[in-house]
Order: sequence, then C-alpha cells, then structure tokens
Amino acid sequence: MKMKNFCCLIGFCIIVFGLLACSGEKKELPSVTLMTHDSFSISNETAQKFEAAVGAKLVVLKSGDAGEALNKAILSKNNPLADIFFGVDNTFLSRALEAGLFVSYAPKGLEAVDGALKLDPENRLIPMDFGDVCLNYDIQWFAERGKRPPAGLEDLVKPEYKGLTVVQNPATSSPGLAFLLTTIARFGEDGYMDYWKKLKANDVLVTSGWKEAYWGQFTAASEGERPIVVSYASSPAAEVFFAKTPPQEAPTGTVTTSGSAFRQIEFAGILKGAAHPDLAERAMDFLLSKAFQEDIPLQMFVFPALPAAELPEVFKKHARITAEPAVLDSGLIDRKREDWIREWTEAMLQ
Amino acid sequence: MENELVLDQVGKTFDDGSLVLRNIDLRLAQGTKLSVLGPSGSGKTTLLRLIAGLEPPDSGNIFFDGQRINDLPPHQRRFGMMFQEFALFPHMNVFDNIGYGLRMKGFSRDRIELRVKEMLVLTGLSGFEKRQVDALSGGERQRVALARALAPEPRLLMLDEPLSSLDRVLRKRLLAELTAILSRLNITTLFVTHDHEEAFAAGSRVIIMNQGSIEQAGTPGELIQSPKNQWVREFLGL
Amino acid sequence: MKKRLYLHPYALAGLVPAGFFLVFYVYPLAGIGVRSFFKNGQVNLFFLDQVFQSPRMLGIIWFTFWQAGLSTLLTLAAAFPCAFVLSRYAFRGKGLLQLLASIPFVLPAVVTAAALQACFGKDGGMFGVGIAHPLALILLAHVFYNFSVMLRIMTGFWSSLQGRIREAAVMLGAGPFRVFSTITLPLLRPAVLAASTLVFMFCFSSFGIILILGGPSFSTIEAEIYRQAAHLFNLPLASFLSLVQILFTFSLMWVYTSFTRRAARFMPKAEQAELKKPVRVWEKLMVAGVAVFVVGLCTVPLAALVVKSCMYEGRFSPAFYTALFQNVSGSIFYIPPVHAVQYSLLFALISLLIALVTGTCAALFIRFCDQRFTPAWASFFDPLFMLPLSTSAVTLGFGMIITLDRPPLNLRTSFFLIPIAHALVGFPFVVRSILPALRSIPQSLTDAAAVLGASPLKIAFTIDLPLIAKSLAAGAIFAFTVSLGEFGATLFTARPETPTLPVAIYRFLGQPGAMNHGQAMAMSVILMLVTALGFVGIENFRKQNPEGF
Repeated sequence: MKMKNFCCLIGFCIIVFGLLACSGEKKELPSVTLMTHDSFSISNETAQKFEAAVGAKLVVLKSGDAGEALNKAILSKNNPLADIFFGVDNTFLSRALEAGLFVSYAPKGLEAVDGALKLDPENRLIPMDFGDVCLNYDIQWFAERGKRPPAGLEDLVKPEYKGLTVVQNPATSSPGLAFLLTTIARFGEDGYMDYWKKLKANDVLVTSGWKEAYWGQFTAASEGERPIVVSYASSPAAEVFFAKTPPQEAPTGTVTTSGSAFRQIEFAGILKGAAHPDLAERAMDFLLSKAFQEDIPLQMFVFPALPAAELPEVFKKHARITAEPAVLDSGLIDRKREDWIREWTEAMLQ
Repeated sequence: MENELVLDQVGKTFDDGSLVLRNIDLRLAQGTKLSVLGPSGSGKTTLLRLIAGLEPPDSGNIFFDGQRINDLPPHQRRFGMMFQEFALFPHMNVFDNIGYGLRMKGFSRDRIELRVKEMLVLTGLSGFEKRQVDALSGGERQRVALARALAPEPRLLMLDEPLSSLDRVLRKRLLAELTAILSRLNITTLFVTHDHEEAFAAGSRVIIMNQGSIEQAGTPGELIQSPKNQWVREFLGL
Repeated sequence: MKKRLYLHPYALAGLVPAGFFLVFYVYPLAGIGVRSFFKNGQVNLFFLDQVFQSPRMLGIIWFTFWQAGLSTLLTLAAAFPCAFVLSRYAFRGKGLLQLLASIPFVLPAVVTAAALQACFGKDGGMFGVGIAHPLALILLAHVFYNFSVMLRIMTGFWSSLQGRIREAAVMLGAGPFRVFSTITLPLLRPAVLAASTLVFMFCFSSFGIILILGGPSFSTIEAEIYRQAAHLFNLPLASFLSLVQILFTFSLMWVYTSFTRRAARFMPKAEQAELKKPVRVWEKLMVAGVAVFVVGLCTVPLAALVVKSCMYEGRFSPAFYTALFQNVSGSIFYIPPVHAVQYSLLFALISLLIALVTGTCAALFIRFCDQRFTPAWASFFDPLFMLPLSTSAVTLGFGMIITLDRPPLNLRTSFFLIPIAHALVGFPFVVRSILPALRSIPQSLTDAAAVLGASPLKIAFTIDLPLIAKSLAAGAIFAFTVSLGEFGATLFTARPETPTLPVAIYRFLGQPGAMNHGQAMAMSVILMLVTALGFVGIENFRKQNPEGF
C-alpha cells in the first residue's frame, strides 16, 4: 500500500515537471510589453518590422475589453504590468489621465497628426487611430425579408425593428460607450433614458464587448440573429476584405447621417514606472510610423492617425467616415460619464 | 391456548449461506418467564428479532395466539422490546418516550398521561417526566426503557441483554428490581443474556443456545443438576 | 513551568499561521474597510446612497438571496431521496455511485460552467435541447455542484441514525410512515439544516458560475464586487459590497457550526448501520431510480464536456487539444494555453507547500491549546482559522491587490502572490484534515515518548507527524486541488503573463467562435481530469470523517 502511494506520487511529480519543462523558448532579446484590449491586432510582418526597428521583441498582453484593460492598468499602476498601454479612447481619456498612468513623450511624427486628434496637450497620450462608431446593418438580411434597413437612431425603437439590434455595455466597451454618448448627443440628457427604455422594450441585446456583439451576434459575421449592430463606419470594408470572393458592394451598410455616429479616437502612452522606458520610447516612435499606421486599417479596421499613411483600396472604396459626427462637449463627458453609465446600468441591466 | 407463542421449525440463514438458526421449536404459554442463554454468536438475539418481526424467518412458522404471524409487520404485533443500549429517543423527554407507544395506539392525552404516570411509579421514576434523556444515568435509562416497553400493554415482552451495558454492582441491583416488576405482570417474557447467573435469576424456564440450536431446555434446577453434555457443563461452569 | 509552556515548539508553531493570517488576510480586509469608508483621509459614506437608493443594487442583493434559497431547496429535493437510499441499502456498485456523486463538488466552478454550457448551451448542446434562460442554467449548475455536499452530509448522518431507535419505534407500534415523521425526520432535522445552511452559503457566494453562465444581466453580490472593481472602477462601492458579503457569510458559517453541534448531540454514537439489500420490487425500483438519477446528474454534463471537446465541425478530432499548444492568433499574442496548464500546476505545488506548512503549524498549535493550555483558546482559534473559507474569494483577491501594492509589502509583481492567495483559501482544508487525526493520538503515546527522553520537538517529528502522515497527504491534495480550481481571487491577482487554467478558460469562454469555445472545453477537460485524480487520491487517504465535508 505504501509502495503504491509512493509510486503514484513519483509518477505525478514526473508528469508535472515534464509539463513544466516543455515551456516556451527563453527570450534572448529584450522585450517591450504592450498592454491593450482584446480587439488589438497586428500583422506578423509588421511585428517583425517592430522588432527590427525597436531592437526588442514585442509582447502583447490582451487584457479584456477596453474598460477592463484600462482598469487593470489603473489598479496595478504602482507595479505596471507593461511598458505601453494601447487603447485609451477619447471617452475614457479623463479617467486615464486622472489616474496619472502615463509619462509624457512626443514621438517622432507627432507634428504631422491633425490637431483635432491631439486631445492631450501634455502628450501623455498620443493619438493612434480613429473611427466612427455607428450602427451597421446586414443588407442581405433586410433585402431577403423585404424590410427597410434603419435610417437613423429613431428607427430602432419602432415595432418593425423589434429584437433586431445588439449593442455593447458602455461600462465595458468603448464603442458601447460611444454609442451611449451618441444617444445623449441626439436626445439630450433628459431624453436619452426614454430612448433606451424604449429600446429595452424593443428587445435589444446587450453584450460585454464589441467582439462578442460583432463576431457572436451579428448576422453578417456570425451564426447570430441580430442584423443591426453597433460597430464602426469602417467595418463594411472589413466585410469586403474578409469575404471569400470580394463582392463589388459591401454586404453591410452604415447609419452615418447627421449626428448618428460618434468620432472615436484611440490613444497610446508610455506607462509610468515601465520596466524599459527607453525601449518604450522607440516603440512609440514605431507606433506612429508609416509601417505600423499603414497596418492599422486592415488589422483593426479604423483609420490611421498619421495622414501620410496610405489607405488600402478596400478602405478607400468601402470605409466610411462621416462628415457630421455627434458632438458632445468633452468637459461634459468628463464630468458626467460615470453618472450616465450608472443610470444606463440601472435601467438596462436589471 | 390463549396468547401462546409457538415456533415451529424456524430457521434463518445469513447471506453467505451459514445458518444462524436451525430448526428451532419452542412453545411458551402465557406468562412464562423464559431466559434465553448462550454465548455471543449463538443466535439468541436473532431469535428475538424473528419473534419481534424485525427480520423474517427463512423457514418454519411462528404462531401467536393461534395466528400465524410470519407475515405480520412488527408494528402490528403488539409485542414489547427492550434493546441492549436502550435506544431511547434522544429528541424526546422521559414522558414522551414512555408515552410513544400509547400515541401510536391513538390514546387521548388524558389516557396517556394516566398510563405514563402509572409506569413512572412502577419503575420508581416519579418526577422524571420532563427530564432529558441524555441527562440520565445508566440505571435511570434502563428503567425508562422498561417503562416505555410496558406502557402499551404488550402481549409479549422481549429483553435483549438489557443489563449488559451497566456495571456489575448496578446490574445486580437492577436485575432484582426488574425481576420483581416482571413477576407481578402476567406477560410472557423472553430474557436474553450470556450470563447464566442472570438467566437463572430472571427466568423460570431456561433454554441454552449454541450455534443456532437449542442445546438444552428446562428449569434452572434441571440444567444445573443434569447438564446434557460436556459443552453445557463447561458453559455453566460446572 | 509556565515559561516552558510558552517555549513549547507547538506554541511557537502558532506564530506561523498567525503571521500568515495577519499579513494576508486581516491586512487586506482592513484595506478594504478603509477604502469603503474613507476617501482622502475623511469618512465618506456617499456611496451608501448608491447602494440603498439604487433599485438595481437592492435587486442584486435580493437576487443573491433568493437564487441561493431556491438552489438550496432544489438541491435538498434532489439529495433527500438519494440520501435515503444510500443510507439504508447496500447494493452492487454502491461505492462507485458514491464516488461519482462526490465528483461535482471538487470540480472548479469554471469547469462546471463549461460543462453545463456544453450540455445545454445555446448552440444546441448535447441533446439538441438548449436551455436559453440563464437563470435556469445557474440553478442547474448550483444543484449539480452542491448535490454532492448535501448528499454526503445527509447520508452520513442518516446512516448513523441508530437503527435500534427506529426498531424501538416500530416495536411500539409505529408504522413506516409514523416512524419517518415522528422519529427519523426530527432526528435528521439538525443535519438537514446544517447541510442546507452550508449549501446556501456556497450558492450565496457563487462567483464563477454566475459570471460565466449569467451574462451581464444576472448579478449577485460577489459578481457585482468584481464588476464594480474591474469594470466600473468604483472601488469604494466594491469594498462596501465586500464587507456586506463577509457579514452574511460569517453569520451563515456561525449558524452552520451551531447546527452541526446540535446534530452531533443527537447521534452520540456513530453506529455502523446495518444496510440491507433491496428485496421488494419497489425497493429495487427506488434504488435503480436513484442510481440513474445520480449518474445522470453527475456525469452527463461532464460527458457532454468531454464529447464536445473532441468534436470539431461534426467529426471526432483532437483539433482543440492540439490548438492548445499552438498560438493561433499570431506569435506574439496570448500566452499559449498550455502555459496556463504549466503555471496552474506550478502555482498549485507552491501553494500546497505553503498551505501544508501553515496548516500543520496551525493544527499543532490548536492541539497544544487542547492539551497543555486552556481548551478555550482552542475553540477560539479553530473557527478563526476557518475564516478564509467563509470569506469571498473575490474579496480576498481584491483586498490583496489594493493593499499589497506598496513597500514594504510590495508583492504585486511577485510571482508568489497567486500561490499565497491560493494557500489562504486552501489552508483551512489542511487544518480540517489534520486536526481530527492529531486529536485522535492518545495522550499516553506522547507521555510515553516524553518519559523515554524525547523533547517536545522530537515528539513532533517522530511521533505526531508520522502518525498523521495519511491525513497530511489528504490535506496536501486538498490544497492542491483547491489551488488548481481557484477562480475568484485569481481573476484579480493574476498577471497576464502568468495565467492559470481557470482564468484562461474564462477568457476563452468569453470569446466568440467555435475554436475558442472548443479550446476552453479542452482545457476544462484537462482541469477536470487533474482535479478528479486529486480527489480520488484524497479519498484514498482519508476514511470516514463525519466532521468534515
């Protein structure tokens, strides 16, 4: 009996240590860690260019959706988990800056970026890309049923559109928050709750993040059942790009008429207390270089901040940018964002 | 005969095939005080359990008062039993324990109270009504167990080594009290024990059991004067 | 004489768990308390409005209670008939049935959630019947998980219900129904209440199951603590909710221990019950029914998990398992899932060592209080060391990351933070395994050794510890399996470069796509196998222990 137990124990230890032994390669190169949200994407060639330019391996830490990742960074600010944080957007800007997470650094190429995008005069957070958050719809779905696709926000609460929409939780998703702000801009602080209550009565589905909504529920991109989703004005370009046989026209449409889209700008910054600050600076330079910026459209389907970056054909043809985005005073957003999120959560997530 | 207990070729086997009881024949008239004596493993407790109906016999028949009771469930037999460790109900006090059988019979509260008081007096436990069972001494518990078994006026009383969990001094005293109480009642009593002194004191008739069979039966005097064989002689210490 | 008492090695041993406790339990909890009620050095209670004036918050608190209550009732309904059969009858395969029935409890919450999703998930599940409503899934998961605990406790008490007492009632004229209602039920009541309280507490603080199966619209206090801290970044509110949670779970634990004491009073001598074989037809039907039910409840979801993890696009294939070793999204993303396996095992080993050392010292100290010191201290420290069990794991993790962030206790980056958190959750189990064994060593043995010249330290190493070796092993395995499956505290304290299996499973389950779900299920199967193995090991090493779970 004792012998048997002893052998079991030995066998167990062997298995455990065996598994531990076949762990990954030891890194000889130094590395730069980039903390970001789950929707971040970079192509292999660009990653290799990164390593060549920066002289360090790129390690990407996907840490949940945008809100979660930022909170993780804030909660661990005394012991940062990475060198760079990529993925603060203009709606969460004040939270990030107030937490004192970032170090000031102006990367090469910053001068070329449009002033409207540079929301932090102290250059703690550098604009990386932008896109318009708006409703996307599945053209074929509506055509097959002979229904009219939505033309504006107001359509979503009409009976013919019952159960057709999926949106994201503004507490956890930045397009979700952007859409919430769009409704506030459109219906005012007093009227937006009514709109959302009607939406809820109209059977709207709420997911935690963009991925879950788009790749999990949107009819044009998944086995889901919702033909209307909150996404980006550039998402149709992605649909064309990833289609097996690229169609002439994009299979999805967008609702970008006056004030129904929200301009979202995404920022990156060097974390205070980063392990490799000098490498981080070189990495920031790379992030604002043509090499990375030109990779952005086909990886993350938003527009690069660098004007000199060439847009791919599919983008030029199918990605939209709206002329009249919804506008809300950024100071107002700073002050009331938490209250709005809380009110929304009260009403929608009960 | 009225209230006569008859066992006719009663046998019981264990699951592995070994015999616990072999062809037991027994005839007890009402009021007989029988002691069932034997070493552990001789089958005496099983015999009691068969009569009580807690287990069915594998062969043979049991009759009581002319009726074949093999298939009668134990709670309908109206026999009384005192268990080795007394098996008092821990969640009830003395009064409720003693009154339990009467409750089952559906007596009214007044009747129960009257009868329980009677039993308490009989066993010398007046004033013990409200006491909790776990606060009683060994001797007190034995008396409650007896009172409980007697309260519903059973037609037959079985005592399964009722004194073995008590110490020697107490045992002698309680045996005397027990036999005194039982001798005043005209109930057939089966007293199981492995101690021959107890057996001889408690019963007017004795059967000695060995490995599932009755080795010898008779009065205590007969057994002492003429033990049937060597085994009986050794067992009785003669 | 007193001076020598204080220097007794067992007394000194108490410093180890005390220190561990103070630093890693009391300090983080105090940190939470401070965060709740103070802001910038001033007392700040405005968020109390947020809780008591918010219908959603109140709704969450209410939901936590009633889902726990309903789950408990359902579990009771499921376990009661099964406990009856198991405590009365002996039949072939009973041991196996009991083993099967115990497995769900040792499974980590994430595995349970993954298994139920595999079985009844939206995408058709195993039988083509999907349960769409998250609440039904949550309740089912709770029943699945807690059935074993309730069954175990109730069977234990029911079978030690002295058979003689039942027979005495029968002899006194009680038919089967009256025996049940006047004898069995009243005697069982404390045990039923104890088991129900325990199950209620587990459902009350259920985290992984709510998070994974519930989706954003279902939230309990525990899940809300996490959401408020991690998503909404409302730390004072999260801290306050933690305190509310602790308050409730402490009370429930206290109620539970008082019920178990009462139950023990009714069963002064645990008697080995005589089990009979099912003879009559209805008896056989009942046994068969219970067997089918237990097998169905406890193994079908797990079988669904295994089957689904092996099917890729309708065919059997190890695709999901091989994908675990690859890095599909590109060479720089995601630590390959197999690393999560390695880290989980590594953390479990370290946490085992910490829990073992701390737990043994705690048990030795309590034993010392029993023997040489006043027993009053023993009855104080015994439940004290159980506290981490009744504190929400989420709270523990949360407390750790907000307090252990600065020098001199700057453990945030430390590799050891996770094993420490796991050890904190695991060491009560070690104490619970070792203490009964220690207590059963007769004083005469220690005395004999002392007379023969052994110092207290020598006695510890040559007498006490060798005699409890088996329980030590059981406790070690307990700590190991607890660490493997720990989810709540780990979700907070894990750093992205050192993921553990449960966290990885959670992340993968949250991603849409068949490949991600498949890999989550494959990892769940691995986790399930390792925990099941550990559990079988525990059962091997420890025998009847009516005191424990």
